[in-house]
Amino acid sequence: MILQLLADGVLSGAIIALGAIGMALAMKILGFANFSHSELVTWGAYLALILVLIGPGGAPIGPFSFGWTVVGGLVLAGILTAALAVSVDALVFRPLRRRGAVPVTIIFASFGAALVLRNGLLLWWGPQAHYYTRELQMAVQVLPGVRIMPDQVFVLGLSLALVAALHLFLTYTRFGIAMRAVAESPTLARVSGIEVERVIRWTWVISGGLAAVGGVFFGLTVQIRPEMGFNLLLPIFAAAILGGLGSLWGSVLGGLIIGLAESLSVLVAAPGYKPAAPFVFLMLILFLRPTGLFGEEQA
Amino acid sequence: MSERVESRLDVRGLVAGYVADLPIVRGVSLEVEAGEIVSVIGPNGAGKSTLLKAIAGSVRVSAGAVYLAGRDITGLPTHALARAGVAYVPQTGNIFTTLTVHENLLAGGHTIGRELSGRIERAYAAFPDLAARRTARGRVLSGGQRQMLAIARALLIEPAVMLLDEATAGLAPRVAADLFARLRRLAGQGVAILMVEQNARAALRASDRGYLLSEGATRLSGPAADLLADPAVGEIYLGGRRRMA
Repeated sequence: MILQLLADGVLSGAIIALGAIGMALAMKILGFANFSHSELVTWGAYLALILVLIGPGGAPIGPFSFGWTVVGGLVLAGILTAALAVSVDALVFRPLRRRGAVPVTIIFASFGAALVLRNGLLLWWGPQAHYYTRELQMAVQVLPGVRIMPDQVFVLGLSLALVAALHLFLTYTRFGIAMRAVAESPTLARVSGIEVERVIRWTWVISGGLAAVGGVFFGLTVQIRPEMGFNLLLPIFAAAILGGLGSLWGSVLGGLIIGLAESLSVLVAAPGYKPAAPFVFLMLILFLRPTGLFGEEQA
Repeated sequence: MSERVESRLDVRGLVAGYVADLPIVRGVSLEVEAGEIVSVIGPNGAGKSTLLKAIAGSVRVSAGAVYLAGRDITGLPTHALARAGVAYVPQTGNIFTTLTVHENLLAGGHTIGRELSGRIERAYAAFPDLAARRTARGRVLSGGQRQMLAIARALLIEPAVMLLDEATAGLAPRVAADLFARLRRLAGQGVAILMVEQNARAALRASDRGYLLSEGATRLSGPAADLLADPAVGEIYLGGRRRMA
């Protein structure tokens, strides 16, 4: 039972982490909490759904419940959601930045953007749940008492690969280093000849793309609904803060802790309290380490 | 560092400030020839730092102009100024504390293509202290090492003009003297150096010429030795409620 809950927690933690990485990255580089970030998760899921519905269908690949259309949808949804994130920035956030708006103003604007994005999907698709595939798949027993679906293995493996790729990008490429430079000090980055607006654009591309992948994963392992992203908003925030904003591995660890806390909470409390569990952890950890697990104090 | 662009810096009637209609710099004109070290001194709040920021493009210029080798560079975005050959070392926050020394240099040389690694190796040769600490994060460096890193970073673009804001603040006298000696060698290579210093006496001793700024305007200017000997300099400092250091 516990092992099964652990496995479930790691899975939802991986999806939360994909959202949290993008949110933390944007928060660090843009300096505001983006409440519309989780809507990118939802849009990613729906954009992939469109491609799956108009696509050629195709038989499931091996043990998985989905075919190549879903894989193609995942890639295209990542690209389109990245473009959506860049567009929202160009329409909403960049004009505010140019006029020197304070962070609180931009945060409220992000609330507005979230409402438009979410209700747009609701109008378009209706409130009912959708699925990428109706195929049944056999759960595989990986350990005594722990059964996981092949799809879940796919989700975990690809999440890990994406995080590793992003880590390599941020650590070793010159553009990744420039991104970290902007995250610490946009002023000094400009002085160094770094074009900050270009870095911001790529930040949206990365965070939008990761959000979309998280959305498709959620759709694949749970279901697709217009409020799916909204329901993930607080866990994503909690994970990003827990990890110490801006730290990649912090966000991953934060996501896993939140996912596990949710899933394991049913051992000690009624399932109705499940969404509250992550916040108990968040409070405890922030009492001990106010900068988050991997947070760095700048000096 | 051989083929440097002709690097005369010309500032004409510059008016600049953080808020519209509230200029901090009120019509400053100055010039720095290639190979020259020029100091801007003055009491606290005279607008020295704002002047440098305005030249470096981080503060809005409302009137006047800045020319680099005759080319009007007023109001260019900060990152474009770096590409045009203007290196600026701010007074605070002049290194990335969360990046390693090596990453600081990579970020600082963002605009440079494949020549960058060669230039970084030359920077390490010029600053052996930094070479020994290339994997250390900026935040663990000593004050002197931070200044060296800030200057090494600024030098990567092989600047025509170098703007330094209080580069010796908080440094031990010996470290400060070493820094001034480096700046002199740099000027010898044809760089125009404009620095703002709180420690007026030390700055003037290391400079060719100086400008005394007070309340956003130039009060006195001339060869550094003349300013050092001029009793009026001390008086203006006293007027600004601060003795000449």
